[in-house]
Amino acid sequence: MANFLQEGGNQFYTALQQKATAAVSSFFKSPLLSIQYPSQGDFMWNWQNANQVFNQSTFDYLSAVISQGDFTNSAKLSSAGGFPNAYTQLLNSLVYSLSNANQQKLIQAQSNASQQAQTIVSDYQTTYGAITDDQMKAAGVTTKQDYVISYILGSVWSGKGTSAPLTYTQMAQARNLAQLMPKMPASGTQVLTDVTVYLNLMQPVNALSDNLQYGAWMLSSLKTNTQYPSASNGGMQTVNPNTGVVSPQYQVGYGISYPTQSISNDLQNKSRTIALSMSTSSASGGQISVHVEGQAGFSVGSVLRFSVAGGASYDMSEVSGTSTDCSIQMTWAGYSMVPSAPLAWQQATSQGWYYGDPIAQAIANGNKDVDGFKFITAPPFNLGPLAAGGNFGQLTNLLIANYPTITITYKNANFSSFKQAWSEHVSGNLTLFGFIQLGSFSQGAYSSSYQEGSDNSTFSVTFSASPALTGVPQLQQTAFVIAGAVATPPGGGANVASAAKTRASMQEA
Amino acid sequence: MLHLKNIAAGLVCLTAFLPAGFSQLLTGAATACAVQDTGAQRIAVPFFSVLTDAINTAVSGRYDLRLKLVAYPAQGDLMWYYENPSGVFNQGTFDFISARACKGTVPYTAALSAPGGFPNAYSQVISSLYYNLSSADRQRLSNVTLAAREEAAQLVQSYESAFGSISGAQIDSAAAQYGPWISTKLDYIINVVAGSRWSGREAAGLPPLSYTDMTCAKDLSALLPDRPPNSSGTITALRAYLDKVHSVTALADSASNGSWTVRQLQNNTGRPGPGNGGMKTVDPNTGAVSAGYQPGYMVMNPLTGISNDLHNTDRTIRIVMQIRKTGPDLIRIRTAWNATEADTFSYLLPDSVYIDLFPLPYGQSDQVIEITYYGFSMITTQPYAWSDSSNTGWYDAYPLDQAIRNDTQDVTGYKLASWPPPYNMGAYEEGGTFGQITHLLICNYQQFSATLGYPGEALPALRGAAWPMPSASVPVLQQTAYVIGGAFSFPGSGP
Repeated sequence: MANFLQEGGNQFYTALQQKATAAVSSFFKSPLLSIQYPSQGDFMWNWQNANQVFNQSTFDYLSAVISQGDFTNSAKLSSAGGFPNAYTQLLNSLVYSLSNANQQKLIQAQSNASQQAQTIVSDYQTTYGAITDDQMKAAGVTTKQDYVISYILGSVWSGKGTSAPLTYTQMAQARNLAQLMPKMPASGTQVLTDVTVYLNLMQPVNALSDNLQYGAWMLSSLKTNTQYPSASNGGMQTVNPNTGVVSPQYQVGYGISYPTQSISNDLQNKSRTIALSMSTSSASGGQISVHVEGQAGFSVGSVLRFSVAGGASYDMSEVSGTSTDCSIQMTWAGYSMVPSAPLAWQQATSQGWYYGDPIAQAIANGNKDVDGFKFITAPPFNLGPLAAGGNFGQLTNLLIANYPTITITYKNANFSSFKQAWSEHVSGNLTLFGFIQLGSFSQGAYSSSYQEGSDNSTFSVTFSASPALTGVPQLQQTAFVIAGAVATPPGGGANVASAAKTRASMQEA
Repeated sequence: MLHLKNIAAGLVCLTAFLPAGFSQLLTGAATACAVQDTGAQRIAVPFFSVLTDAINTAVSGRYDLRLKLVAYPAQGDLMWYYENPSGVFNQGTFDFISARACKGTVPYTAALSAPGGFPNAYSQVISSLYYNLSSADRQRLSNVTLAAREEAAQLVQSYESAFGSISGAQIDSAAAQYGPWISTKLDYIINVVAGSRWSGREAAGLPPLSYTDMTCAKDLSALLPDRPPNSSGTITALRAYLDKVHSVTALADSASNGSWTVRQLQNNTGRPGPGNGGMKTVDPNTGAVSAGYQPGYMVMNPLTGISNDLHNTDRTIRIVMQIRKTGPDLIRIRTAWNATEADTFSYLLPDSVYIDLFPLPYGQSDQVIEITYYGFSMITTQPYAWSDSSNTGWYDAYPLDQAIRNDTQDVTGYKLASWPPPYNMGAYEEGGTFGQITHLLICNYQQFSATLGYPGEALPALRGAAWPMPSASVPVLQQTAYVIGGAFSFPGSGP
């Protein structure tokens, strides 16, 4: 991209980002980034049909993975579904494992428990005599440990008999083991306490085992719900906004916790505006010097181009009667903050698919020898902040508005000449600096009006969204995306990939 | 009352009048749940510090809380109508209050995780929770017979002195009558003589008193009404023996009870149901009630109270910031509560603050920012606390607190097998990432305006539009309130 275009984009997106941040700062205490115009087009804000089926085009926008934009303070979207696709890849590079130290502890604890089991048998035999093979055979057990715990405690001391003895699990989970032993003799105290010690020694073993299983289960649940969304795990069907057809397949769930009625109310509240101003003047080489919000200038070949049906387009600095000496005011009215999120995974219901904590924990764990989630292979994404080249962002909020109204006020111009050359009845699309689209429609988005100034050398032209837009079907109604808030995994950075590589090489070794 | 606060060197250093520890907030350390991408943003940090102070000043005296601003979450605003007419909890409300809270990437803010983040995190942490006896206590437990040996010998001697020697035939006879577990003299005295005969249960045709019954008896003599006159020495020896054993077996009870508690917490969190306090939720969009159960949450305020508050526009918090660009710059804050002036204090700011201070363009002179929160209400919320007696609920901070304190020490009590835990269990100021929402200060809408303060000049409202009130067309379960700030607890971070 030519330097002047880059600078133009930098200044425009930065100014828009700052204006948007300022407009919502009183309630939105998070950073915003300008959003580059994506291949998805504008945002279809009517996010569900009358049967509350999610709008496929809204999904296409929200489910993109976000990366650093081409311009300062901007972000850009991937194609539709980029985020769940990327998330699936990340999940497949995760494992849950115990640290070497805890694996050793597990082995040691099992060994200790085994020693304690021998103590149980020994103390039992000291008090009650040696356990014979015949006794074990009669009790239906094969080891002395089972004889004491399963038979003596489970059947005899518990009073349950051999038909419905207390199980080992019941004893292990008992709130008070002694209360389960109404027929324990007074001399049984030693054995009972030995068993209690045995069960207690198993607690850290069981806890580590439970923790390991929990991590593995969580990962498995996340993968299943992301890769195989269904009605039972929070997946959702979508409705084609063009045909109204509901998809037979399920997508991963997304939600917008802001009713369409509220979005509509916001868009109609035109008293809330975000405005951006520019001034232009002639520069050398047929270029135009542009100053955005009073910043240092840059030069472009075209500031604002109006394209109409049939392919004709008009550079608004070259139309007859216009001049390069003008000020431009862009005003977005009726803005609305639309919060959105993937359906969050819930441990209690196993519903939902997105849970960022395992990724965050894997990042934090890095190469450390600790329990928890780790990357077993290098994640295929930069998990850092967008400004650091991160490309695993997800949208959390979108600041949308009606299409901007653009007023160009010319000086040193010729209104009579312009009036003869210009038709207010033509509608079309607007492009800023030759590459920033201000909305896009198959039919023209904008119509224009003009007004003479104090004399013939001064006049203004105003482009505003075409009334034809109101005739668009509900599900296809779109809004201009001014900015968005983006979430990236906390702590994500360059060290993640190297940590995973090291781990992989260690495992190979 | 007028306070003066000095803000130095670009970022803020409010030390003179802030609570101890508050200055740690200024470091702005990254946290593991605030995932908002800050990128190359320039955030109105000084504005947030001033606003935080102003809001807390306004509410001080009414609420004994230190509120923090809440970074706008992906959940959006709070769906305050927290249950449908059938009493089913609003999923939208659940999504907000069940988030995990931590220090935000933007200083002075708290960030919220995705919905359900707190029970998810709690479930993961307690999956490695266990109750353990220290090595020393395990040894004490193992030596229970050794500890009671003298008392046992004394008991047998005392009995045989009074009633004659116990023969093998007597033990065999008792075993035949009561069961094979009667095999020693000690068993014979405690289970047969005391537990069955002296207790009167043999005469009544009842099974003997259990050993546990006698160990835990409030008054042992009362349990033995048929004891003979010459039994006092034996009773005394029996009591001494039981006391000795009981002092040690109490450890066993505590171990069993602790382990049982952990399992109930794990079960009730991971498998909530109608029997343990789990709750279904209603989708505010579709009205559908969930098939599955979530861990229970409660909002302590009645719906009518919240509704009345939100629609009472006399309930206002008003904050006026008068900014005078003199050297050094001065911000004078006036706060008001229900139209009554609450407090006034001033900040000194360096020039550089103007660059960042929302929303004022650099170089402007005297200005006034006015923020009014209309129809405020303080919401109190909590997870369904686990009850030992009913075994309902899922949240109990005590075992976690103790496990964090116990660390990896060889002590009796709760511990985490997987150490360190996967979250920072410190307080907000310490970058804690395991916070739960306890209070939310909400309002119906806020009015914001910034005006130029030149005498005689019109005071244009730069951005004076109100946050829209919930429209009548918005379904009741989807009606939202703006969250001004919140208070949080961080289990494991100590008192």
